[in-house]
Amino acid sequence: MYILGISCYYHDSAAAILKDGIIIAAAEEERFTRKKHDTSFPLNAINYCLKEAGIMGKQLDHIAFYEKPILKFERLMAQHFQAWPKSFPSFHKAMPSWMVEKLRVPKTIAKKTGYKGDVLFIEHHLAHAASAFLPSPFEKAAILTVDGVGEWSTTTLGVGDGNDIHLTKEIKFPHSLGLLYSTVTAFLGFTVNNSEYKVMGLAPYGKPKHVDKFRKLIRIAKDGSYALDMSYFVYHYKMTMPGPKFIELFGKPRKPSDPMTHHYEDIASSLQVITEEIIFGLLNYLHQETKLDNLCMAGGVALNTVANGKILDKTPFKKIWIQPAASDAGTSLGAAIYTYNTILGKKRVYKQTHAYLGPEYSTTEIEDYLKANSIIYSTFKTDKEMMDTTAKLIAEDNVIGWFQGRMEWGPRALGSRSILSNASNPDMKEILNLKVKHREKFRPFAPVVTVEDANDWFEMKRDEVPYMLFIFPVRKEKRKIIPSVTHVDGSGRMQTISKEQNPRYYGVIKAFEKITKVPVLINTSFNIRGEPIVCTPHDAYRCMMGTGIDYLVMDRFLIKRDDNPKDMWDSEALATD
Amino acid sequence: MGSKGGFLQRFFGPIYREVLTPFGQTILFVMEPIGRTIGNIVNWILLLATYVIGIGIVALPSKLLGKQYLDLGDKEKETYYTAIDIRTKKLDEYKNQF
Ligand SMILES: [Fe+2]
Repeated sequence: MYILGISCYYHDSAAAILKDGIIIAAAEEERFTRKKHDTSFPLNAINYCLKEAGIMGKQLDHIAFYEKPILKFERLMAQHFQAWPKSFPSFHKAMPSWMVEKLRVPKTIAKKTGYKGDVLFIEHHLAHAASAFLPSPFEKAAILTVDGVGEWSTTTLGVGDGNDIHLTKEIKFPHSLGLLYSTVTAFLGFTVNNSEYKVMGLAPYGKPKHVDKFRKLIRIAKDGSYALDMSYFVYHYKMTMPGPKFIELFGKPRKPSDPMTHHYEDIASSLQVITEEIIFGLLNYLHQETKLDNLCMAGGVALNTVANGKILDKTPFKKIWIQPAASDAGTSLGAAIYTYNTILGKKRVYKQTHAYLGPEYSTTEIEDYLKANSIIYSTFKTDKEMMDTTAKLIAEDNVIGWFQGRMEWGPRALGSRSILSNASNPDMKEILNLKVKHREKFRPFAPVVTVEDANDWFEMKRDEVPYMLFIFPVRKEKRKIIPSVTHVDGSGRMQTISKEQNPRYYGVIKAFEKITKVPVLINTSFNIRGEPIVCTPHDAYRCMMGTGIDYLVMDRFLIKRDDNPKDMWDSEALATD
Repeated sequence: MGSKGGFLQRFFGPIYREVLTPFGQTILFVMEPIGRTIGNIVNWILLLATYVIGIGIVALPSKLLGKQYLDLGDKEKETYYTAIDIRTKKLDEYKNQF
């Protein structure tokens, strides 16, 4: 039985496919169209899923969509009824896409995929909840979903038990922790729905001086529920987010080109404090209601890795599982798996143990690409030679583009489409920024560590963190050894890796440890600023040649930047983010 | 356009290529943005009419009667949760978009 899940039209369009209950492929549309956070109908991702399954659209048993469009449209109408006549600009902007595509989902799906059956519409937060619980290792768990907004819900609480999910509480639009975070993101001069993680990275540089101001615009009840005072916001009827009262309270919004000052750092820090207070309040109430030890989370707010790292300390939950594609992309997987396990009542046979669900390219395909484009390369005879040489190049402070196996599902590069470098070199952050990433100085780089060594290097509260969803303190005595991945507050957004999860990636770290005694590397996403993570061999080669990446290790091939023409293009000239 | 072009090309020969085609291209070059602008204006007027009349017909009386479509968080409450009961339903019910 084949079930396809689709999410699209807001942010992070994606598709995922199940074969007899097992997720066999999942990918975000942005990786194919090269348009970051692409919202369009995910035809490329769907075609990839169908190709992986070896079927045509008409052979699908079911297609599940990640929300109920008419419920969402009802909410949109309620916003305009409430705000009339102030909301015309947003009505003018939004309405054509509703008429052309958002209210015509079954027709679009039939036309573009050839699928003839009925489309199943799963409520948005239910799809998030399903993506968090059904692929988790738990038979029973409490579930929390928190995002910007779905149809009406912005936060839901519930329980997953066997094949069933029961959502019992919600907080409704316009009260939204996700939209509060986005409002501050906009206020700090960053792009909404893209740069929220930058605010999180900025927070440790500031002091939480403005927490009391945040308390004026958000009410938190004893049971952890919350409501925003909407007189401070305008996102419910305008295209912008902070209102005049918000600006009166926090001062002049920062323009993207303005320098980052302590004032803005303090605002980011205060927001993080409030965010954590709300998340822990919701979770403590959820635990009180469910008395369960296991917790599953999804929704964009579940990507707040700083808060995630503290959950076991601040709440009674003992185990956590978070969907690696916690934002809306993951709802395509959630809708599909909910259809199989819950609606059709079929046994839960899938436990998600890795995120390598995207396209891969065979050795022959890669070599054909290299030859067809007259690229100069060398070939490793064995995997061992490949891993040892890569480790040596990293130890010599080279920046390596690492392209191996199936592309990652979700927003993080986890060792398939990664840039790897030496975490022990104190200058490596600057080198990476100069050569490739050109990011804001305050943003940290993340470490990857072999799973058996993780506890020696980080104050881990868990056995493993394979998806970079948790931030833990770097052990004090190790901070000087891996300065390039130790954030200003002594933390690291780490990934653990085992041999089973990704043998080549693991092997490089082990080989690096042999040379340096350090089982930790910098792992950052293989992309240039403003572009999605690379997908194909061409994307990877193009990225290397447009940046200062020294070597590209693609399957068993080694491509040296200096051996190839350097005037291909300049990534920084095209960077948009 | 292809078949018309083919006919014109056959009929007028070199005149088509050297005179009519550049002329047609110039017309297109000028007309296209004008057409797009007119389309945008018509679109804007239609949407404004829909907004003023279609939304206004509900919004205006609602305002006079004090009906709220969104909870704007202006009142303190014991809890801000809404109880819901989302459970597994029959397959057919998921075919609804609402
Ligand atoms: Fe969402």
